[in-house]
Amino acid sequence: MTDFAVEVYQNEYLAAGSTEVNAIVTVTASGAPTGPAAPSGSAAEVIIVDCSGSMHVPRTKLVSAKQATAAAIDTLRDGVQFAVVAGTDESRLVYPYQHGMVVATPQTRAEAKEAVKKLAANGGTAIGKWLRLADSLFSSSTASMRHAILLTDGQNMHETPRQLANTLRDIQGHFVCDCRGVGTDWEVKELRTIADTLLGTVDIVAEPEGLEADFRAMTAGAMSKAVADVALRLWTPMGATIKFVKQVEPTLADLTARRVEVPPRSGDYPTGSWGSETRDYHVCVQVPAAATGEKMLAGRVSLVVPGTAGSEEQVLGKGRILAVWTDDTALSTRINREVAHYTGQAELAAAIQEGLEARKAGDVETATAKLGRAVQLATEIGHTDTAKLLSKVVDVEDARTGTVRLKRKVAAVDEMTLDTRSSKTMRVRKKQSTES
Amino acid sequence: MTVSNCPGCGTAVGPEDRFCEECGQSLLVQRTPVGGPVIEPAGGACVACGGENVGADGFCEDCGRGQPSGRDRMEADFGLVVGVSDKGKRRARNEDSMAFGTVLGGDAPPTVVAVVCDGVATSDRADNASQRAVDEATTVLLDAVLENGDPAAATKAAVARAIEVVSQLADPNVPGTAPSCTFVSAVVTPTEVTVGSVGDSRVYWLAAPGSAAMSSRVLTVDDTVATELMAEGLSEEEANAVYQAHALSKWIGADAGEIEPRVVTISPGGPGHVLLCSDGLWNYVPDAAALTEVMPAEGGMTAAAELTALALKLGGHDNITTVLVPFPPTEGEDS
Repeated sequence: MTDFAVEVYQNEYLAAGSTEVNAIVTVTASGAPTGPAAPSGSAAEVIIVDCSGSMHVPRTKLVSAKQATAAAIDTLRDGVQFAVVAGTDESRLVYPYQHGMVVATPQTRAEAKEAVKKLAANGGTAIGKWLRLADSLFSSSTASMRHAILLTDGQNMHETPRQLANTLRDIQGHFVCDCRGVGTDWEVKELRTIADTLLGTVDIVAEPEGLEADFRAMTAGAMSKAVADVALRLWTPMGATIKFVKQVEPTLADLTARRVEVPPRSGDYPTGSWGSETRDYHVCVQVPAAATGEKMLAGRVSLVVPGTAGSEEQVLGKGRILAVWTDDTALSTRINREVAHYTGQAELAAAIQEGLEARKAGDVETATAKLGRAVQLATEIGHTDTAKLLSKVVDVEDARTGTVRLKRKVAAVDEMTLDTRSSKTMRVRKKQSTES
Repeated sequence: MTVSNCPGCGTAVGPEDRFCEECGQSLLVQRTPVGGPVIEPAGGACVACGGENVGADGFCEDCGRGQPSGRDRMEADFGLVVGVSDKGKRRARNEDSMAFGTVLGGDAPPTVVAVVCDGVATSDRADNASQRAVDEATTVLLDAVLENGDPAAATKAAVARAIEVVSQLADPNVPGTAPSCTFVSAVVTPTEVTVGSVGDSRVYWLAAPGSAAMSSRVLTVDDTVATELMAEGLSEEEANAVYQAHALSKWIGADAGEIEPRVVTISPGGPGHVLLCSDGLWNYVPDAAALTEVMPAEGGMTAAAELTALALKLGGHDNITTVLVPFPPTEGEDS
């Protein structure tokens, strides 16, 4: 039985007349069962492999993708339902041989790997169609934990952006999808949109040889999930406006628009599947100001786990976001380090994405300013991984002030890696004790 | 006077009874409950939006407003003595406490006893210290009144008892944070007012307008570094300029050392009010004449609430406790 604990980090003191309340909500799930065998029929996995013509260039791409898919199949626990889809400008079920999913056994795994070996690359790219097939396969399963891996090497050329958007709208919430781009001919923004909508991760696998380990890790991650379709429930008082609800750790994902109303005064934000893990959320609420000395509950955060087999949903964990108005500026101006840390990380991600966008558009001035700010923030926060990636795109003159020059020549892989990983955050080092 | 219900537990009692058959309490005594006159949270409507949907955690389920609860705002009105203790606007907790009681009927003249203690904010569990001190001291004073004891001697005994119970709260392993508090008490009879003090809480005599009584004045002397220096001959200005001029020189607590309270008895000679308060009130209006000016003449809960509101309006920097007793304690009606 998975349990959820909610902790809130904030400075609840507001200056007279202030209305914006910020809090970092740390959610820790514990007690997820671990072991080699998933309860039969509780998890389902679909692996989607890009088989467009470009997967032959270089030849190692398709070879590595097949090896990676085989490794993912090997990582599936006995009892997990699975299927493999080949994607081109159409979508084709590679395994099993008839529409549907099969339960992983030594025999089905061997059959699936045989079928994957025979894959050939030929045709275009229509990712929406691949996802629709995956969705239809999942709908044939009763598993609650539904996870897909999507591998592509190119842009979504053979359907319109609108078709893809419609598909995402139709299937969102049905399964979680981790997306991987191999090589440098795919579109970061496109894959990020798919991953964000389907509550999964996005990453670049620059060298095809890296795919196998990555697929194995993703599948193992999916196998460790114990509870699906968990929602973050936020109650806010009358007259309050929710400015945003973002996941800020382990990756940045804005959930604000994903709210499903739960009257009265609550809303649910989807968070996907959970194993034993910790995630941080940044909640920003605007409340009506009250007189100094007054105290208000600005928000209440809990986790909603759907009931299994007809049982009631469970509401677990409870965190309180407070607002206390004071005349004491020593209290109201105190900066909460958790809030500051993740505000900085969100700004860092935005600066990188906007900077790279400007650079692509030839706007050197904006690109230099944004990427300079990114270097400065990465240095302040101590985000060394991001700082390292930035230094491949800009020459840093002074990291502290964010003085940089754009590099004249940047390898596509470096730019795409920086872009893709910009939403990867670093956990704040929590204080031992919090002030009362 | 006929008592039909025990003021302590509410059980019906006969006109000749002196003690309640149910709880054993003296039927002559009405006093604030041990632990303070705490308002139970989640009672009625929300103080902000008026909705009827206050949650168990003390917040309105509609507008989110925190409801005044527990020690944040304590009020008690016994007619002859009223008190308000408020957290103020800047402190996280209310570390002031008040306790009082009346003895009406019986052999003794109508008498009111009241105690206010201000927990020292830099000490641990200061709210606990002040509450135990006022409760125990009030018991000592009420017992003395019932036995026709000497008010001055009873005041000293009450302070000794307060020191004893507050010292018990100290953690012997952490000498620096011994819980501590100030102390003021008043025993008000139809002829005299006996006042005891330790620390910087105050008791004022506030003469009624046009009364023949002695003029309004402070009946206590602050036990602070500044007043001790003034006693040694420094001017007020010089004394207030020294480092930590307003730090306490005496307090109630395990680390207080050997202390004697200041005890004075006055005969006001005319009508007025006895005001016991913490520095959360008098810091804003220290002057006795000025306090007399701002206090509503009718006294009672209206006056206590208005003095508290004034301190809140002027900043509410500290906890505010105001206890008012009319003199002589015979005019108002008993409840």
